[in-house]
This record gives sequence, structure tokens and C-alpha cells, in this order.
Amino acid sequence: MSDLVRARLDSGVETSIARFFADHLNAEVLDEPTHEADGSLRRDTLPSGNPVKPRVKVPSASVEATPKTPASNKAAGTEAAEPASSEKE
Amino acid sequence: MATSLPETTKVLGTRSVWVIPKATVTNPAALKVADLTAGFKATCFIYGDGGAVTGEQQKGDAPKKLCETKSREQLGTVKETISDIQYSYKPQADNTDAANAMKAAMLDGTQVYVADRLGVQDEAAPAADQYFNLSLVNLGFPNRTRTGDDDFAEYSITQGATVEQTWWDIKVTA
Repeated sequence: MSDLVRARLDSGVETSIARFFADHLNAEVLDEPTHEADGSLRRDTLPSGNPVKPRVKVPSASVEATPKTPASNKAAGTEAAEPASSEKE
Repeated sequence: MATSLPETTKVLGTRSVWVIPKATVTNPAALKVADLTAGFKATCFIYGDGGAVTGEQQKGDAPKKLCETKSREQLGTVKETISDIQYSYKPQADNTDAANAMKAAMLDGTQVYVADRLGVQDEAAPAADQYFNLSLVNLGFPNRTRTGDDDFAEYSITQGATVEQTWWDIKVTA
């Protein structure tokens, strides 16, 4: 029995975790690999399958100053620009 | 004028360590009591003062200007390291045995948070408004060792780790 398992936590996050913690947290142990094909540990994933990424908080002032759409850029008389994203990967 | 000394805190019995799986902590800078209870309290497994995080900061001399007759020391980069953690285990049992709980939790190659509480009696449960130091560490190979060569030595595991990041003096919330 492997000491490392792939488990789904109450938060829905799927993670490669020690079986000890999976039992401690009453997490659902999944029949999935714990490592990637290259041997590295599989990263944490959301229920959608997307990886869990840290969210970087951007100061609100800089978000307000950035035009949200090309249309608002035109109305403001500035050149069209890519809408800024407030979330960074 | 009488001199008053600042309040101090005794070390004996007032350090507690929790090991928490990385995926269960959503915001390490805003640690919650629930994050700690999701972890494993390792205090009674650890020998000595292992798992202490220290920062080693480089120092060097600044380039000397023509007018200077003294050298100036400057601060450089900081490297955070964690001392090897030596903990007890039972060689003649598997990882489901309670005596091997820490061995089962500290799988090499995984990432865990090591939460350190200083200045509170170990018997006290984690609670809001207590202060913790939290380090995200990569766990290394668990070496089978002994605590010594005398008549009272015990079998142990000594495990190294590297520090990814540390958050100091976090006030835990409920």
C-alpha cells in the first residue's frame, strides 16, 4: 500500500498527499497517479481540472485607471489596448 | 530611578510544532485555527530543537571610494534554512502504527508547512490570537538514525528539508 496517494479534499482541491493526512482529513482517495510522467509530483488541481494557482492582488487604483474594453479606449480618445487582467498566474 | 526589566518568556515546554499538508492552507499569511487542526501535532515526536528556521544573511565590503579610509560593511542576500528534524519511530511497525505517525506524515519529496508556536505551554490547544511562525518546506530523505550510543538511546529518523518561504509572527484567526 503506497504511502503517497492522490486525494480530493473537502475544498475540492485534488492533491498528492501522504496517506496519513488523507485519512486524518477524511479525504476521498482517488485512483489516480500521484506523479507526472516525468517523475515530478503532480501539482494541486481544482475540481475543474485546472491547476491551483496563487492569486496576486493588484492595487485597486491601477485596475480603475486601466481601460476595460477597446470601446472605452476609443471613447476616452486613447489607442485601443488589450483589456488588463486583475489576476496574474 | 528604579530600572524595570522587560517581560521574558521561559523556553521549557513552550515550543509546539505542527506539520500541515500544503494543499490545506489557502492563505498562509492569514493562518486559521482550522489550518492547524488539519495538520499533525509533532511536538512529542521531535528530539531536541529540530526544525528551527534561521536566516543567514551575506555580508560584504562595499567598494571603497577614493576619499574613504575605512571600509563599509553591507548586507546582502538572505538564505533561509531549517535544521534537520530528528523524530522517533518504531522500526518494527508499519505507518499505520501510532508510533510511526510522524514518519507517515513526513513523506520525502512532498511539501508541508511547519508551524512553530513559541511561548505557550505545549498542552494548550491552538487558538485565535496566538502567534505562529510558518514555513513552507520541501521534505528530504528520511535517514534511519539513533539518538546516541548510550544505554538510553532510541531509534529515530533524521530528515533534512529546504525552506521555500517563511511567514513570521502570524496572528492566528478563528
